[in-house]
Formats: sequence, C-alpha cells, structure tokens
Amino acid sequence: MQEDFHYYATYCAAVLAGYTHEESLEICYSAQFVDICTRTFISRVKGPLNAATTQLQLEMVDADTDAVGLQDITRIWASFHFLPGDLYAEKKHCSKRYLRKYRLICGPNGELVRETVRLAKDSSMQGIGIAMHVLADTWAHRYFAGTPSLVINNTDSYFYEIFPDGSEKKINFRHTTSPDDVEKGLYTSSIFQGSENSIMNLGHGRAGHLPDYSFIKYKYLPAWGGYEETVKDNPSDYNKAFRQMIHAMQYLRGDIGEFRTDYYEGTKAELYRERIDEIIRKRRESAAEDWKEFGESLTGGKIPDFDQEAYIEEYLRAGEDEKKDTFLGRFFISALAQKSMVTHSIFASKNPLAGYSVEYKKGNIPGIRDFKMMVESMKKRKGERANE
Amino acid sequence: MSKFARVGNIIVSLLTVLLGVFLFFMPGEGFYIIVLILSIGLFIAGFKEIIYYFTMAINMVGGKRSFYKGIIVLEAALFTLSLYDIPKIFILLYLIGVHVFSGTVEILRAWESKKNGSSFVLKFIQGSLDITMALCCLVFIRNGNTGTYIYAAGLINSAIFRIVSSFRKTAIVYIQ
Repeated sequence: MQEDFHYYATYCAAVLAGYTHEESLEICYSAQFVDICTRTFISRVKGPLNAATTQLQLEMVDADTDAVGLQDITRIWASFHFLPGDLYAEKKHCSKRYLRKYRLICGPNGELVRETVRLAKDSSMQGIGIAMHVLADTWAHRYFAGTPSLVINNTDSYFYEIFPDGSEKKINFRHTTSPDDVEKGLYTSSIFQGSENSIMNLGHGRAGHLPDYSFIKYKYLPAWGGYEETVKDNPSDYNKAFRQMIHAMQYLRGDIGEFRTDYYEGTKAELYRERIDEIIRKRRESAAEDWKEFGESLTGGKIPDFDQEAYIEEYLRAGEDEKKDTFLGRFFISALAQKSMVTHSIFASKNPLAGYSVEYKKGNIPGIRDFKMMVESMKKRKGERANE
Repeated sequence: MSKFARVGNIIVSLLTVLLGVFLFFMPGEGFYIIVLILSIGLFIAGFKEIIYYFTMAINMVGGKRSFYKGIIVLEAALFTLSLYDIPKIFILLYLIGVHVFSGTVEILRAWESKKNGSSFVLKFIQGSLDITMALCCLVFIRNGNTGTYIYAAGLINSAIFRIVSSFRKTAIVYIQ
C-alpha cells in the first residue's frame, strides 16, 4: 500500500474507531513512517539500527544475498510488509527448502495478524500505527512473500485487468523507469531474474505497483499457484482492510473485548459506505486527496502533509534516558517488539529463513543491544500495570 | 552483486588470466586443458540447474524452463568433453564459436540496458571486443600459433572486463 492508505485512510479509520484528531494523527503518522524508517534514516538520528522497518533501493542493491543477508532482509520485510498468513501451511510433494518459502506467503486473517494487534494493546500510539500498517499490508500484499524467492514471487505474462463491467484487458508490463499511466493501462514491473535469491525476486515487484492501487481488479498466475488463476480484487480487499483497521483500533482502545480476524467493522464504516467505496474505486495512482478530504470532514481538523523530518529534532535534543519517551523513541521500541515477535514466530515454526531467535541475556551482547531498550520498556509497563 | 559473488567473479577472472598466460607459453597443449575446464564448469552448472528444478522450480509456474536449461547445459558439457580427442583446429573453432555467442549475448544485454535507461557502454564494448577477437582468430587460424595467441589475448581481455564489472553498481528497476 501507499501513503494514501497508510497515512490518510488510517487517519480516517482511527477517527471512526473513536480516537481524537491528535491521537489519529500520531497513529497515521506512525503507520506511514513504517515505509520511511530505514537504516540510513536511523543512522542519521543515531538510533537503534535494528529498528529499521524498511530498506531503501540503494540499501537493497548493496544487500548481501548470502544466508545471513537473506535472513536480515526477510526479518524486515516479513515483519512489516508481508506478514505471513500461515506459518504452518502444508503443500504436498515439495522439498523442505520450498516449503519454508511457501510458508512465508503473506495473507490476511492469520495468527500473526492477531498477535500483531495484541502486541499493540496497551502500547503507544506509535505501536498502534505500526500494527495498522502491517494489518493493511496483509491485504494489499497477499500472495507474495517478504523473502527473495523466484519460485514464490515470480509471475509470468498471464496478467489481465478485470473492469467493473466484466470485460478484461491483457496487461503488458514495461520494464523502464517511467511512471505508471493508469488511464492508459501502462504499468511497470521488475524484470525477470532467474536467480532464486535475487533481490529482484523480493515482494510484489513482478506485479509492479498493481497491489498498491485500490481501484484495480486483476487475475494472474502466481508462481506457487500450480497454474490456477488467482483473482486479486483490490476494491474488496481495501474495503476489508479499512473495516478491519477500525475493528482493531476499537479493540486497542478497549471499546471491545476481543480482536477477531475474519470480522469487518460494520457500523461506523456503514455510515460512510458509499463515500469510502467511491474513494477506493476511483481510477488513479493515488487516492490521497480524497482520503484527506474525507478525514478532515470527519473531525473538522487539518491533516498536515506527511513530513518525515517532523520528529527528528525532538529525538536528537533528548537526553539518553529521555529518548525512549520521544515520538521516534516509542516508534523504535514498538518496531523492535514487532520484529522480535515475527522473527521468533518464524523461528519457532522451525523455519530458519528469518534467522535465529535468541533469548535476551543480561549484558551487552552485540546485535541484541538494541533490543535492551525494548525489554526495559516492556518491564516498566508490566510493573506499572501490576501497580494499577 | 553480493560480496560472495564479487569475490567469486574475481577468482574466476584471475584463473582465466592464468589460463590465457598458460596458452601463450604452451599453445599446443593449452587448448585441451581449456576444453576440460570448460566442460567441468558446464557439468556443474547443468547439474545445479537440474537439482534446482527438482527441489524448487518443479512447483513453480513456468519452472520447466530451469529443467530445459539444465539439460541444454549438460549436453553442451558432454559435447565440449567430446572435443578432447580431435585436432586442435576444431577445438579452436568451437571456442571461437563460444566467444562469438557470448559476445552477441553481451551486445544484446547492452541493448536491453539501453532500452531500460541503464548504462550500457561497458557491456557493448566487451561484447564487441569478444566478437572482434573471435573473428581475428578465425582469420589467422591456419597461421601457426597466431590464432592461439589472439584467443589467449581475448581470454585475458574478457577476464579484465569481468573484474571491472564486479566493482560496478548498476541501477535497477525495483518496485517497492
């Protein structure tokens, strides 16, 4: 998904869930920030590098694709953008090596989504924002995996757009740096790369930006699908993602007792069903303007343009002990928590693709030093809850 | 390119340079060693592809491509090995053919890079030099060891280009 949904639509969902204008701004900022928080950004503010939630193109080019490098890539992308739908999925007549990658395919309503939302309970607004980003992406990025894999993420030339009137048109992807032209149906995708672990085979590159356009419905043959046609109905998926975000945030606010997967909020969203549907189905690269207008009409407040520099000064000026209470500090802690949870879940399913999950030990062990601040924060919260 | 791949590339290139130098000093026997090394390399590549097909690509839409590629490479390996027992001039012709093919592929890749807006000059020069050297070999093939020396120079030239390419960063169309 793009800024239109992660930032503006998340704001709208937060408001409909009952959050105030200010709280909703914190949540939606954090949701969008997941697409910004790279190691390059974190090193600028001298923050914990392990809290990176995405990678720049240049970081990808320089990334190692040996075993350790692949684990590092998988930890980031599977934790924040391609949350696995079923870590224990079965597939007949395939090797263990294949099954490990197959089990990382992203999908909604899995156990990990439930854990992601639970993790955000009683955490900060930043933690809620991260959870909303992850939840939303399980819908947009379903059928692709957050690990480099030709046999999972490849597609072939069988790609058809399905229009509202039922007609179909073949999509012939270009492989240039030109932007997409959705009016003319011109789309760009990454080129075929025959190497299994090539960076070019990470995520939904072979389908271009199609998963990120809310208006489009298309059918194709995913590499893992055994020649069975898969229909990706983005208008329906984005609608469900929006409603599920409202439901999740109602749970996180404490308005309802349980977060259920396979449940889509039907009361608040229903009041604005036509408007939401119109925004989602309008044919253009970005629905930011419409979501913004909708959001501002809900609260009467102004939604500022997303500014990635907004909280840097606060973080840099804070003392060492105060950093964890800044906006970025809280974001980093929540990002570390999410990454830990997903990495451990993948490791516990006997899948080594995200690396090893190590129990935290006292002391300055390199590599998990960053997680110390997360552990201390969680201990502090536990203590506060016990006192209450 | 990963560090591993970079180091591997450099090692292969240095070995190629050594082979080229070896050909200069032993133009008679050197070809048989080149044929042997080439066929072993092709066998390994072919088997790797076949194993990849049976462990991974067999479950992938269009995965048979890996199988066909593996079979073709294995057949090329067998054919290369069969050249061990024939007069040197035919081996040289075969090796010239291989270089013309790889030079053509380089030029096609350069053309594709140009279409995608990436840099293409180095690839184009490399491909053109490969083909030019192969043609020069052909012209002087009956001229004692001259054809052999030209081929050896071509090997060293390819190796140097490969080392240079290992250190280049290339822009990619990457969808995030």
